[in-house]
Amino acid sequence: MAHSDDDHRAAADEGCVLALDGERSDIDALHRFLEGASVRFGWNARTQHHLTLACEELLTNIVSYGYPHGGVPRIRLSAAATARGARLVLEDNAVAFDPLGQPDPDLSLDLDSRPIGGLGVYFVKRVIDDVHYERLPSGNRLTMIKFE
Amino acid sequence: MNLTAKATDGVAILSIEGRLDGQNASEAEAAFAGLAAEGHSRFVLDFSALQYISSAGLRVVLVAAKKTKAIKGSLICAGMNEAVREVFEMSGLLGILETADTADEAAGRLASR
Repeated sequence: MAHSDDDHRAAADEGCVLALDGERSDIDALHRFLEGASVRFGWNARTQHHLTLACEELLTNIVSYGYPHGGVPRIRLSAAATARGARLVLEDNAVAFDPLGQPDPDLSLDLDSRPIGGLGVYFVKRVIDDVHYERLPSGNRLTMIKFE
Repeated sequence: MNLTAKATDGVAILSIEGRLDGQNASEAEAAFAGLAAEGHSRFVLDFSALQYISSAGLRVVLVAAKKTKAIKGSLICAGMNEAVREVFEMSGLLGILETADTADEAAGRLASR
């Protein structure tokens, strides 16, 4: 699907911003934040669910793998409306990590062969229409576009 | 998340309400392990009041299913709502897990095994 400039450009309305610090309560905060954003921007329940799932999976990855040498996570999530849905930007101060570079899991494996992990980033790719990774001097930035 | 465990007719039913995610997955995993340690081998995971599951929650279900298989038991996932079912479907686990529409139906099936 072709994306118009409007899907990628930050909306004139700067949107909502959530600051997270890698604590377990981040997931509560994430649910509340995206509930509020969905009401504000009129996103439907399915979009809200998909955005929440994608953000939890990415947040888990950042906190689990992003700070091998210690340090305090500083994570910022912003949400804004686009002409056709949602635009989320997730930024961190973690080590360089492009989640999109991971291979997809093999979903055809039986119970015995099935590894315990590896689904999170795959879910992000499934529920978000367009995901774009950038490495910045300050950390990682992932931009997610979701159409309704 | 709220956990409730009960056993009837030799079937252990673990009801998981609210969210099963990275915040509370370890608690749910411990609850299942506790039921298995009590000697149960037939399990229903009742998701009828579950609103949300992430990969961290699926991990709990996968660990439970593997453990159940190792002790030659049975496990049925029951009562998934649309959002929860979609996550299971994306994971490919629907094809390798037994499911039922309701916990009662699942317990009935297991009681006769």
